[in-house]
Amino acid sequence: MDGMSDHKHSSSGLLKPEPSGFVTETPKPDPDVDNHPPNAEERELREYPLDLAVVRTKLADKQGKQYWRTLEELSDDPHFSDLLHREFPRAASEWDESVDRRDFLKLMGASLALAGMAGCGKPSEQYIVPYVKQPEGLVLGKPQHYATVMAFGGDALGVLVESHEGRPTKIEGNPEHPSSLGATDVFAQAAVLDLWVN
Amino acid sequence: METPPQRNANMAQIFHRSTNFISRFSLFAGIFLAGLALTGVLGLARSPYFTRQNVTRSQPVQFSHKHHVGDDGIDCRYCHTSVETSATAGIPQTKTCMSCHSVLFNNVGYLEPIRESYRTDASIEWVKVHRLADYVYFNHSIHVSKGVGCSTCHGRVDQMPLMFQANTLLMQWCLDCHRNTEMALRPLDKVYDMAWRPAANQAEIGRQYKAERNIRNTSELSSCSTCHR
Ligand code: HEC
Ligand code: HEC
Ligand code: HEC
Ligand code: HEC
Ligand code: HEC
Repeated sequence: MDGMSDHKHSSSGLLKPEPSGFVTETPKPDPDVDNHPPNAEERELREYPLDLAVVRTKLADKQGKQYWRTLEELSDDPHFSDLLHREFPRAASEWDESVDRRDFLKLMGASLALAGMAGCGKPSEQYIVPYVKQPEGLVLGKPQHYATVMAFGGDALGVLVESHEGRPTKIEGNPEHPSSLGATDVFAQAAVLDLWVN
Repeated sequence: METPPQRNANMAQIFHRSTNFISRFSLFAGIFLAGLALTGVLGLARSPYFTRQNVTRSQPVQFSHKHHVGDDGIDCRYCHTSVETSATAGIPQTKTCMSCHSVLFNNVGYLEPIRESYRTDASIEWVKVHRLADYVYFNHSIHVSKGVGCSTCHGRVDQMPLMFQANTLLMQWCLDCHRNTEMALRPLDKVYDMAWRPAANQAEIGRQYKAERNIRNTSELSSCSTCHR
């Protein structure tokens, strides 16, 4: 990195002053080149340049296969390992107590993938609750129709009520009753809900 | 920024050459394991653990079909009264039990739930043994009146001290019969016969019954809307 920036620097610094003696164009800072003054961290690293003699003594008793990327890593330089643990040396250290993006994605992925599992498992037990004394003429699973009269608006409407094991589900007109002749109005249709009160 | 040229050489060292084999192997192993897992899940869904085939339940009264049907010879319809006329076979009312047990074993402890039900007018809660999903329509009356016997679907009920489900009740099971109904059709007076066995020339007799009883063909009986309506 240093070699690169030095090279660019010198190329832009090649601008010669005009014969008049005035500099007409001050060299613009190259946006690609990071030429800020070294900050504390970089200074620290540079303050401890690699001492090959120390490295050699540290490596003297090592043998066999060992993989390494830099001499600093191999020689277990404490400043270097400190630098390694700060993923973003120039910025703040990583806030690693929280759920980070990767963990968040992992959790969401897992919960999506396992969402369908909610449908697995044994179905729970169901119960059959038969009559104690079954009404005469009732066939289990078949509706019964009761002819009755509904008092409404000072009139009596002849209706048939469909009932499933004692539960009314539908009201229709009774074709054999003179006041309805099989027809009903909206009030009679809705009256089935009244039967469920309490 | 330029990458230092040593980097690639380093990578080669980090991953040993055998990694090539392992990565290829794990591709195939992955496919194999996924297949195995799928087979496992589907197998489990068909296992008695989930279909509850052959599993007895503990009932409020340990009612025995073996004693009542096998030993005493009571007809199914005496208790399951609506089996010929309705979608559901029906579980008998307490009064049906009391018609005999008000005199028979009328003071034994294990019949107390029945006497209590009769006294207090509160129903006995039997655990449901056969249970189809709510999205399936099943009807007893058509099966019984076209000559499919109880034992074809429920097994040897007369030999069951406690009721259990003799078949899987999976969709496949229904379809296996709907595709070859002739193998299950009996003479109409044998529907309640627990010991009925298909004759040697059942396919032939079955086809005859099929014609006599106007039983529809396979494509109609296995069309989705027959059972999912
Ligand atoms: C004495 C009355 C009685 C007779 C006769 C009788 N059953 Fe039952 N059956 C019951 C009672 C009570 C239950 C509910 C308790 C249980 O599941 O064991 C029941 C349950 C069943 C069930 C399981 C219901 C469920 O929960 O899914 C089937 C199937 C059945 N009976 C078939 C038959 C067949 C077939 C016959 C004739 C061979 C028969 N029963 C005769 C009383 C009777
Ligand atoms: C037709 C008469 C009759 C009816 C109806 C009847 N039982 Fe029984 N029950 C008997 C007889 C007979 C025995 C003795 C059976 C034996 O020991 O072989 C018996 C025995 C029993 C026993 C004793 C245990 C056993 O299996 O031996 C129980 C429990 C029982 N019945 C429950 C019921 C229930 C519950 C019902 C109603 C669904 C019922 N019974 C309906 C005749 C009847
Ligand atoms: C084609 C197969 C088949 C035949 C034949 C059959 N059943 Fe069933 N039975 C079933 C199925 C499936 C269920 C479960 C129904 C449900 O859960 O909705 C069932 C449920 C029952 C039940 C539990 C209560 C109910 O109605 O849901 C009883 C009792 C019963 N059957 C008795 C009988 C008797 C008695 C016969 C013979 C006359 C008979 N069954 C014939 C398939 C059959
Ligand atoms: C052992 C043979 C057998 C089995 C098992 C069986 N069925 Fe059937 N099923 C029949 C026969 C036979 C008919 C009569 C067909 C006809 O009359 O055209 C029938 C008719 C029906 C019908 C009436 C169709 C209609 O349009 O009215 C329904 C619904 C039905 N079966 C549902 C089922 C379901 C659900 C199952 C599984 C739980 C099942 N069946 C298992 C033999 C069987
Ligand atoms: C003879 C009756 C019958 C016919 C015809 C039938 N099914 Fe089913 N189906 C069933 C039964 C019974 C179940 C319940 C199985 C269970 O509880 O595991 C079922 C369950 C299902 C399920 C739920 C998945 C499962 O396995 O639990 C689907 C999806 C389904 N059926 C689709 C279809 C389609 C599509 C068709 C037409 C090609 C069809 N069925 C025709 C009886 C039938």
